[in-house]
Amino acid sequence: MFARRIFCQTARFLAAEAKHKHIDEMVKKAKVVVFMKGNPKEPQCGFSNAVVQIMRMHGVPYESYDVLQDEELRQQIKQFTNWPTIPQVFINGEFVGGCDIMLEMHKSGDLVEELEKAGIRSALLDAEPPNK
Amino acid sequence: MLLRSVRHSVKCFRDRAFPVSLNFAQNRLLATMGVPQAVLEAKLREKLQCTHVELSDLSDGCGQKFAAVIVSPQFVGKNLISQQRLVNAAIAEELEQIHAFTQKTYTPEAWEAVKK
Repeated sequence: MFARRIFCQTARFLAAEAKHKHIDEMVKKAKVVVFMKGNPKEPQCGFSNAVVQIMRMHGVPYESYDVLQDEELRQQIKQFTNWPTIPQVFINGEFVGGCDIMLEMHKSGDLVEELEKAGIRSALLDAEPPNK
Repeated sequence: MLLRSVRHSVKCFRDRAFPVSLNFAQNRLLATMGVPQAVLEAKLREKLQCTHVELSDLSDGCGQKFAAVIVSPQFVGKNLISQQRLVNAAIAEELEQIHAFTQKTYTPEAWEAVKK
């Protein structure tokens, strides 16, 4: 009885670990990874769409996961980052933030820097300078 | 199966560690009603000692979609993600009932600069 309980607890612990390991692999699959609602071609939420548009402006190649296709993933990613909302953006395997933070970083120029650290040159740097 | 039991044990632990004073019916009501703006604002002011809170209910009154501008001295010296984590933690309970929450956080100093 007692041994069984220990076995069960160990199994549970290992299962939880395995799940997180799975997410760990997902967030490192590309330099930039986005967990979103819908896919880049058809975002299913305004916030996810905003992130897609920011990435497009900067010409960033990225891997995306649609949490609407996988309820378990949706809950797991929230636990993994301890962040309550979707979308969630990872650069170089590090959680960078959600939509609000991406927008702020985009406006402040921090995003260009952050991408550079990951070895990605923002397309905005090569864009024609705005007319003065 | 395993996952479900893990979830269950987590939930049991959570319930035990953070007993909720509301009964089931009240909880259900809350879950379908969203969160009153005043409750959210009071909680933010209290927990983060906010000097300024600006909430906009974008949900046409159902209380499930908010945009917030939050100014707190607790944000000083913290990066954006840490600031927003503070906010998320302060209203974690309410966030479960809110469908969409967008926030802008400022230190009092940064807020003065924005206002100008």
